Amino acid sequence: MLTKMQKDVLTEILNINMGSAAKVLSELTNQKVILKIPSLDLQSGNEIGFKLFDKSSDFRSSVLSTVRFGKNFSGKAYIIIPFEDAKELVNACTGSYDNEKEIFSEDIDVIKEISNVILNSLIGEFGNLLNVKLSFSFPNVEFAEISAFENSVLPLDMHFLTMCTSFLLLKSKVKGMIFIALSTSSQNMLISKINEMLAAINE
Amino acid sequence: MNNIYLLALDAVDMGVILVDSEHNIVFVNKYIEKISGKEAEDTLYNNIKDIISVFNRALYQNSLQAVFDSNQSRFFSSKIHKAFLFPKGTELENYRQNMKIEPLKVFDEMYAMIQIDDVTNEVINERKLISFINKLEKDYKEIKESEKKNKTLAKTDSLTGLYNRHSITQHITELLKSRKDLSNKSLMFLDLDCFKSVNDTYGHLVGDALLIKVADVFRSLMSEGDVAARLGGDEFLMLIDNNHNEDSYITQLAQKILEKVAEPIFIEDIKINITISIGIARFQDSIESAFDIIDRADEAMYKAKKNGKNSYVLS
Repeated sequence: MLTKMQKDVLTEILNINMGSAAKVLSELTNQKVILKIPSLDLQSGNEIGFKLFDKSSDFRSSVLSTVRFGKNFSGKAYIIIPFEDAKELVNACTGSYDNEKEIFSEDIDVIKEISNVILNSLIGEFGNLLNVKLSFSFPNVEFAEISAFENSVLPLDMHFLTMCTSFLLLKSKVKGMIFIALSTSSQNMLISKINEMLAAINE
Repeated sequence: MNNIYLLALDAVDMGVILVDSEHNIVFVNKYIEKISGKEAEDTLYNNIKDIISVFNRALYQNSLQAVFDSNQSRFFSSKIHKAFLFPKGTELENYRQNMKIEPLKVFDEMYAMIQIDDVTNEVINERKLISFINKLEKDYKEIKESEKKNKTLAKTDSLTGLYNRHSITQHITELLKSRKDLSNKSLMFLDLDCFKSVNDTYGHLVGDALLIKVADVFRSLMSEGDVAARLGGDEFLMLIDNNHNEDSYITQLAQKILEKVAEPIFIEDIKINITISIGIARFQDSIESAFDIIDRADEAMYKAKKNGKNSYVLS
């Protein structure tokens, strides 16, 4: 759906903003945090389901954080973190290793805050790139089982900007996925802008 | 009409503050007045950092500014930040608040709405609940372990650790009910010869130790699926899976038991020579109850005793 050049440009732009999200998280947690998006693609919900949520995938039982954004450029952004990685991320951020494997309401609030910082940075960057003012909702955090994810959480016929991401903290490495569902007009806006930038580079 | 909104904001159970683009406070609700101990008129038009000191830090100031610069909302969790505004004299460690900052456009003016939600009780209650659940889980495990232990104790002979009379009788009864592979099974009745003289000569402690050693001999010769039990005194039963219904298997096993038990047994420094008599009964269609088969094996054992002991008889 995206050419290699288009992907490269978008990955570079978003990684700069992931850097600023990492800076906020570093300040929050008093430790070095590195956030990376090594690759991205534009895929249908169906493709994501097949590729990422097979039986052996760690994502089958996950914590899902969702943010809606809107006005001129609209859609829904998701961060999905495997359940065990989510607890690891909370522990790494709070520095309190409490031996509990369960995720409690305080932990959910931490995930909410982290995803708020990351998604604000990412979506905010789209706003800057397209020169539009966006509005954001607060993240809604929930537990997602694969069956629920396949059937209702991620619309299968919609296209998503799919990003693998990793959170590198002092003592831990946590993996996650970011999906950004864009309305058709927003998707076209973004691709046009990237093409514009590529044309400017080639001139 | 505006008064209704203000009254509603005063009634909510969380702190609400509105700040303008200069970060000056333009509204505080009653909750904030109560927590800060300051009347609204003493806080209005002050900079937010004069009322909530965390806003002196760049992290919070930047988040507040992001509302005006890029319309961004920001959530701060109690687990990371603990609290933002708490009554004087209250220990921070015991206080938990979440904070939200979000844009609020009133006509053409942009404001930041700060909501401070006290989650102290939720956190305390959840911790209590977790501790209660953990205790319940621990208690449940202890009860289950205790039940398992009691079940094992109820089934076994406390001296030898073999099954007791009740459990082997039950086992045989279930076997008879199922009628499964009965032709492959045999029952041995084993009785030590002249055990009374060991007790009379060396005392009951040595007698008991001898019974434990004899039980160990049975265990060492048993195959998987075989069951051994102590009926009481020096009487034992062994339920044997008679391999391929061959008499030679069971007679060879009986011979091995005779030989092994007849070897000198040492209880500390005391050398004891003892023998055993064995009666063997095969499961047949005419057997109706556990008592039938035990009686048959017992009769065979008496024949072995009559034959001069230290021998087996297959009925």
